[in-house]
Amino acid sequence: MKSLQATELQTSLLQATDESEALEALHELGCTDGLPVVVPTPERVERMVLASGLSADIDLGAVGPLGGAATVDKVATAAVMAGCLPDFMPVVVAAIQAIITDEFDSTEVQGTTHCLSPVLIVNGPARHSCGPIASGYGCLGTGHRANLSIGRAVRLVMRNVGGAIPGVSDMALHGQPGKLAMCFAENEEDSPFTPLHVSRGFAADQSVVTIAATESPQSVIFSQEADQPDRAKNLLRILGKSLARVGANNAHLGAGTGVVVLNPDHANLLAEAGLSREDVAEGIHAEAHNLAKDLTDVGSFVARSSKASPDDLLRAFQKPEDILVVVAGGLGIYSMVMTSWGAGPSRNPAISVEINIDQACAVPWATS
Amino acid sequence: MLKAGAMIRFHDPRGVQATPPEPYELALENNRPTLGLLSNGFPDSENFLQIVGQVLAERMPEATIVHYQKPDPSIVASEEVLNQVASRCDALVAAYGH
Repeated sequence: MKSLQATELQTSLLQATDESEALEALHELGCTDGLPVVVPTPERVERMVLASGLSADIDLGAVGPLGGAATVDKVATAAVMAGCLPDFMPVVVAAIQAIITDEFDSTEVQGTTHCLSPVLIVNGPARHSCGPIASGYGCLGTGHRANLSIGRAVRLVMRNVGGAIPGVSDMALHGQPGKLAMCFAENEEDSPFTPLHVSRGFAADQSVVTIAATESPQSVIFSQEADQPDRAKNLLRILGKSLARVGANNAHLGAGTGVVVLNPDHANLLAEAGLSREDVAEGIHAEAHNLAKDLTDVGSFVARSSKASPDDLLRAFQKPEDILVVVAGGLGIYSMVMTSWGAGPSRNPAISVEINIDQACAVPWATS
Repeated sequence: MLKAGAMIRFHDPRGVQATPPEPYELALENNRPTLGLLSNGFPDSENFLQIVGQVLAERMPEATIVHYQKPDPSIVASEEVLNQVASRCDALVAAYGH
């Protein structure tokens, strides 16, 4: 990861007669996501910087396609605008540290005509101390302040610091709702598996944000009686087929990062069959494929499929590790999958970064 | 909208470019060059090169601008197109959309 370096702070302040006029000015400048924002007054931004435990002039890195410097000052500005509490700031900073990596490749991710946007998955103690970040009912929906404002802050950095303007430098043909915010926590307490971040090499007591640029979440329905002997296998199958839908980029390109959000019932069903998180990812990977002819029959423009023999199996992902299996959501018969992009030099990998909550400062929020 | 002597100040959220653009230093000796513009086939690269072509035509009225386009973004440019570019153009600008 990029080392933290101080830079010459280039804070510029705008002026307006009151908050309403300031809000309209931010809309006119194209600095909002279309929804109202909290006006980033110096006092509010200063508090958010203080909460990060970092100096305002530290440059976390450049965000493409503009290559704007994501200083702590600019990140704090976005966090204020998004409606974050100061407690949320360490998660926002860690997510930006993931966004600015070469592997994430924000220039490619933001510039593509595809609709992808990062989903943030939070593990470890920060789920509570930097939130609470919801992991249960509606964790990908509305009503959870930390989920939405943390995700929104990251998106505002990508827009304002990264210069991603729809139709100008963010060339997504349609965009998607996840371009507003997409953040949730893993329900580690109700998961039968080791937490996601432990599977990715971190200690259980570390706090980690994992980001992957994906399409919107899509529902997967699955319900079978407990005495159905193949139900674990069938669940893996329907999840794999959902991730390999023939309209998804990754079905054609065979790369990218897929996300599977298992509800606790589905996770327990798989665990009762003796499967670990890694086994589940491997099982889904094995089922996430299409016959070459199924892709060429729908007019796949990718040469990869046309070079194959009609009955060749073309996998939708390169390896099982490219499928993130997470436990979250309420109980029931639905899980979620997020299909992927799979293009760019790095092929759209997931990035995990530790959330540094030890350096964070407790700062009360203020209304001024 | 933004007034002098205002009552409230707030941070400008827009980023400052961290790395200055690199100057383009190659030059043509031909005073009446033929400039090729090759799109990889994605609409954003085509749109971009349309604008590049308009700007070049304004700034270099003596130049001939020729647009080329790959029919399929996933394949390399055909030998036919490459031969046309090599035989006709003094310079080529390729745009990569995705």
